[in-house]
Amino acid sequence: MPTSTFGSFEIAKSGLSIAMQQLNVTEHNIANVNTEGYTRQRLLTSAKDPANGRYLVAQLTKTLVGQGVEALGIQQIRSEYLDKQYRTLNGNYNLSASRSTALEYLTGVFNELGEKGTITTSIDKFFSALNTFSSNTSSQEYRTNVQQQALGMTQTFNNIYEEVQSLWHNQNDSIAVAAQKINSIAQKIANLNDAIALFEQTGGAANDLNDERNLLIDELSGYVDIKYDFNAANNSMIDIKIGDLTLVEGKAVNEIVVDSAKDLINVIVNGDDAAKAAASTRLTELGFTCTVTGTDYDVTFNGAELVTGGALVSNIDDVVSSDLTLWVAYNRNNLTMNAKPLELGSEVKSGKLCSYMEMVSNQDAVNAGIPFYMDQINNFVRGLAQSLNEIAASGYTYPYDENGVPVASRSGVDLFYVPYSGSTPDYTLINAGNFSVSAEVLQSVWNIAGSSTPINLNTYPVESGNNVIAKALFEDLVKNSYYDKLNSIVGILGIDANTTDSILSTKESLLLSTDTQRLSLSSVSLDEETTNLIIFQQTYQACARVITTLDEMLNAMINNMGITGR
Amino acid sequence: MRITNTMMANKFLTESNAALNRLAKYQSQVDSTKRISNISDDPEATLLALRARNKLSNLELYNSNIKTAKSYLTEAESAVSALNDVLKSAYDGIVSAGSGAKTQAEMRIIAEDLKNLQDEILSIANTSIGTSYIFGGFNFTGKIDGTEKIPPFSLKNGNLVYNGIDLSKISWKSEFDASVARMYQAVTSPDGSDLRSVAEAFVNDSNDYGDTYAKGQVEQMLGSIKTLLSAAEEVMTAAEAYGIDTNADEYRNFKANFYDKMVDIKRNLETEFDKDVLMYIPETAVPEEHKLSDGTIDYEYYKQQGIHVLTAAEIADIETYKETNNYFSKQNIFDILDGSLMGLISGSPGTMTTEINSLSGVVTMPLNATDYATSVKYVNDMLLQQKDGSDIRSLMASYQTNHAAPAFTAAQARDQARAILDDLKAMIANGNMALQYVDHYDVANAVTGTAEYTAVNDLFNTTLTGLMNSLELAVEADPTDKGAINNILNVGAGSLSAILSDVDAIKNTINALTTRMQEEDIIPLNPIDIPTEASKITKLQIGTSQTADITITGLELLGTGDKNIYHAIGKAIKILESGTADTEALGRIITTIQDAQSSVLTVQTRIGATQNRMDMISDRYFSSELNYTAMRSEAEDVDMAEAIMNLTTAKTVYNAALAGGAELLRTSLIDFLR
Repeated sequence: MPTSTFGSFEIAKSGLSIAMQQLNVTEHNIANVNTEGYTRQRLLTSAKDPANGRYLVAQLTKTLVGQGVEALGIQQIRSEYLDKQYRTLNGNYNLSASRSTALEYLTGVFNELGEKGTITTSIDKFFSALNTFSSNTSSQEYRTNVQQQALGMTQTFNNIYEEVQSLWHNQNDSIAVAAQKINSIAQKIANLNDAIALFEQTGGAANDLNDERNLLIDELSGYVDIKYDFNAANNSMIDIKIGDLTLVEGKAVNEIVVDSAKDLINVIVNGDDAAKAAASTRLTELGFTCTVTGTDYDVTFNGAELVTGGALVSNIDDVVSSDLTLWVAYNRNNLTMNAKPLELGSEVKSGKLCSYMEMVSNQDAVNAGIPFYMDQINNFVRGLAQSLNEIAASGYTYPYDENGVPVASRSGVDLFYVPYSGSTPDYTLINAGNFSVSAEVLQSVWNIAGSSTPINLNTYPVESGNNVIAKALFEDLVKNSYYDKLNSIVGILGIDANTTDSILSTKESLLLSTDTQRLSLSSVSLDEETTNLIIFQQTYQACARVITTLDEMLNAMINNMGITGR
Repeated sequence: MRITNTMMANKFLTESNAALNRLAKYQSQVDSTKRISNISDDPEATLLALRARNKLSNLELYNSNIKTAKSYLTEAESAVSALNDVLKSAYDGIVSAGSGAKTQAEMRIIAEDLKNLQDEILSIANTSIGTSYIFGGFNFTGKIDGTEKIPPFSLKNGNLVYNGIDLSKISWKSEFDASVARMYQAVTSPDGSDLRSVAEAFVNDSNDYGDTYAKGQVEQMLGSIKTLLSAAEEVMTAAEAYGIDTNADEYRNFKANFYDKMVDIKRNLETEFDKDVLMYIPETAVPEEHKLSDGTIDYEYYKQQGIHVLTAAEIADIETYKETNNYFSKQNIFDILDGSLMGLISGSPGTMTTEINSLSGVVTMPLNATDYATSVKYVNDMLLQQKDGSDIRSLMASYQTNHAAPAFTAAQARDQARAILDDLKAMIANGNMALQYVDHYDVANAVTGTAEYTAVNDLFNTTLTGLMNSLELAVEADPTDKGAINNILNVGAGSLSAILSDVDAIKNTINALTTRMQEEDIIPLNPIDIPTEASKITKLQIGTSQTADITITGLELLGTGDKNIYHAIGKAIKILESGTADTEALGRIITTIQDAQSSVLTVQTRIGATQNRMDMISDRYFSSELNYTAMRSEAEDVDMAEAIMNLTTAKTVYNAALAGGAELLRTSLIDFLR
């Protein structure tokens, strides 16, 4: 059976060119060994069919050899399954990691193990001052000590509350930042979808663009739990959903919109009529009650008035801070996509965004957010203020004014400040932020009640040594077990942070092991590539040698054939 | 498994970082000596540590209270033991005075000594720590009177005053009551040896008495009378010391109607008692042996024997004979008893009871200060218009409206007028009670002469009483004359309704009086009573549910009533200064002082017991403190040996990780290719 004279060259040439291509791919792999998200590539090759276009001939002979090698394409070594698993775990890991960071800050604020500046020490000092005061209620020095330690205690609470609030604001801002980040990633993915579709129209595979897109999806999975799938119309493109809401569809992006009741109320007050109407609809969605008269709106929340007749109420800050639920609802950043709300638990279940939203919103003990701890500390302060005030108000002051001039002994003087709701004092309005010593006690230490009967300095009975109330104030420490109450808050926080940490380390090792599997499959091994380099080089050399051999064969044929007898 | 360079690098980074983390953790443990630095490190241990810390700070507070309490009690103890010494000296002095054979001069010297002891008692009672009086109850600082500071115990007009309570007055009142009781005991005693029983028996049965027996009964009565008189004298002394004006009717009547008469009776009885018993024999009964030879009676013999020989006629009128011849006569005794003594001591009520009651009426405990306030409030309340129309002004208004109507019958008119009258009487009674209160406290008459007092007095005792009287007359005289009653009630400027409707004027009048009293500082307007004052003990918390008393009230220390030490010594001084050692009274004082000594001892014992209790608690706290410190340390402190070992291990591991990593990462196949 005759074969083509130069056909063998073709076989060798295919080997040479494939080896060259393989070397290129290997070079590309080696060059990208440190590129993040890079997936190693392989040249898919296949032996060329001997019957290549010559079926008739093929049927005639049983000894046809193949036509050499041919490239089928450049393939990425990657597992969709591992990608999916990684992304799920990444969401969970980031949820825990970000929660852990927030709780670490919170435990720092509540670090009762410290020796100074803790709530416990300030309470200690205050009650110790009360105790000394009870041994001699006529001593100005002891009274001043009570006043100062009470101030110290209230300021400690104020500081702690401020820090907790600032952490809250920090987490709240993080929601907006995360939303922005998600939007920008989504935009990039959409752009890549476009580019990849364009590239792959030609039938090739946009491997490196794919890597870029995969990396972005990885990143996105850290922010929020996503579902993704190939676009039904064009499977070069990937669609991404958050819950049931579409974030990316082909080249289009639905951006997450951030708004807050505070901003909306600003619109209600200052915006034009259309904006007002829109804001009122949105506020109603957020749980506020809006009623309109003409074009002016009244906005209330659980009966608390925020806007009346289209104008902000004058003491809006006090109104907002009087109720923690309102305060959270008023300041919180809310997310919508395509005018549909992105809610914690239904759409947002993992990722950093979930942690931020939990920290900002949760008032329950499960996955407790900052408002939960704020509520705990507020309740503590409220209980303390009310109990001590009731005792103090039942007693009598020392009959001096702030200048030490004798005045009548009075009862009903509070130790701590109580805000008014209308014209009645309302203890529910006390929080750790506004907890303070009453104006009367600040004005004069003689206004601290220590006696159970009126004290007279110049008529009998002279009750200057009556310490019944002072003693009762001190006894309240044990009676109302303030230490235990405080410890229970600290304990809840400590256990929460500790649990989160241990969950985090589990998630971390899971993520790491999945990542390791992924890397094991997809990342570049220099040893392997170097080995390949040698193999491909040798293939090339071998093919070259084949050509040399053929050349020698032809040389023999052309120059040495037919010269017998010459 | 396929291993790649990135994997190796990642794994190396993760693991060396973990090693570094451990290293940092152990490093911080060693540096801070704390096993846990953050509450999330180990929540259980954190809670344990916090609980231990809380307990420790509680213990610290309790311990500091124990220290304070101890310093108070130590001071109190030394004061109490000084008081004990004073009592011993007083006891010695009074005993030696009572032992008799002391001249008046000597007794005066003892009295002087006792006066010094009284001063000493006062200064002990006002012991203070820093600026706080420890026996003043809740009066730590003393009362401020202008620029002067009055300690809890002070003297006012020679009386001992404690926190505004006149202890001397209370003491004299007790003395008064005790003496009155002794008087009654001398007169009525269940065993039949008392004055009244003996006298009554004498009056009823003396016909059956022999003279000698009768004389014995008189002797017994004289004994009772002596006791009675001595008690009566003490009653008068006590009343005087209490502050009763000796010119007051009650006092003078007691003295004139009872005491002086009793003294007369005593004197008469003594005179009678001093007479001999008549020994006689009837002429007819003279035996033959004592007759002379002529048959006549041997008068000489009987004279020598002191026996009278009486004729039948003389015997028939034997009492007259006794009288004429100045012999002891049952008749005379009977006359004294039946004529004056029985009237004094028996009957219902006898003169004695009447006079004692009348005197007791003025020697009463100070009206409680609330009485004044209550009375004033009552008057004020009566002036308020009630919704149901039951107040006096509504009643009067309705009377005015109704009186002319025919349907308003005379009976109805009278009932309504009576209701008005009752209200008016109650009002006047309360007004007078307030005035009486002022009288009572205003010993120096600082207020009773003032216009404010006169105004209130006039209002209740002249104006309203006058109207009340005419109303009463009108109601009872002619109930059908509804117009006359109406005139009194409602017509004209002087009518009842005109006066009462000016509510503000009445209130102002009364308020002016109140203000005046406060200005004069003659009455404590706040209620003070001994039980309340005695409960004012400063306590400190020395445990979760344990308190310690750190003060002792002056009332407990010095005693109240006739048991008051200062008073008892004062009384002894009074007796000694009078120059006659009334041994019976001195004996009672000695008993009082002995009682006081034992009660001071009780106080001393209680202080000691409290101190012991606190020592015990303090010891217990010490061991608790050790326990909690150990608990705290176990929870939060690091085991240094372990931590350093951990640190060293961690360091080794980290080094090894770095070295291994460096070794492995550096090499790749390229190193071995030509």
